Amino acid sequence: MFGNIDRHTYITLSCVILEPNSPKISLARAGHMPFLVKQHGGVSVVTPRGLGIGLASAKIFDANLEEFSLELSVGDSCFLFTDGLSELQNPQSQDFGYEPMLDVLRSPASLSAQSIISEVMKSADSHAQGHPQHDDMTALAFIFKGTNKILSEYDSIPL
Amino acid sequence: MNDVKFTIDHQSFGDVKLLKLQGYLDAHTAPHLESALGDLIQDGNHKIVVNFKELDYISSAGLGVFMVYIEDVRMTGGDIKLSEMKPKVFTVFDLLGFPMLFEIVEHDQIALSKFTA
Repeated sequence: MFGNIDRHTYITLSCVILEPNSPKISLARAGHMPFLVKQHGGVSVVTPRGLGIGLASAKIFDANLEEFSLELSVGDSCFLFTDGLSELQNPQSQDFGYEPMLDVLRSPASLSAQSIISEVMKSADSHAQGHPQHDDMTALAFIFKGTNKILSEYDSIPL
Repeated sequence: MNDVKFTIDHQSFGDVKLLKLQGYLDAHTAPHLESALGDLIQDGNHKIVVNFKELDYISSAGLGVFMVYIEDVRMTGGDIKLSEMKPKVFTVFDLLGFPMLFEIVEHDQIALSKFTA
């Protein structure tokens, strides 16, 4: 896309590769927000190196793209989000940040992907105290249930 | 309104131009910076340092401004170097991968000396 789109413009993207018969997942990031990962009882912010799409030539983009692999245990989870969520401000101009999202992942109550999303959104709403939202807030969560049982719970979200 | 939210202070150090940003750089104020950089480059200035010490916020639209001219200045042997970012502002640049594309330094003096080295 570099050279073919307006110079002001770029796209950020996250990629997760799930292997149905393996606890291994691979994460890559093209300038997007970090991955929040709950693994082996702890939580971490995973930020593989990667440029936004459209900022540099394919050669430079490829040379700077890092793939990060993890091995999950049953109950481990991963949370992806857009900057509209982490940068949601309250009336005191304070960002929501990563910590409340990590708190939700830490919580023993986060037993389903749906509950992770709803608890994060509840926490964001509480943080904002009615302050207007300026950007989209998109989130995705998944929990590792064991090989051949990776459930995104996408299908279980009531429409 | 834009002048209240965002200001640019211009300084010169020989043939290097220093722009000191202050306030909020977002979709509303980014055109102000874009025209300031455009004017400098049109006047033949290709060695530019942008100081972020007083910049409190930058949005994706603000980041895009730095991509507009970088190729042009580098083609003429110049550069745009970025300095003195607050951690929160640096994080925004860092996530997008700017440290792989731009020289980001702790102090103006470092950026200025790189132009004169």
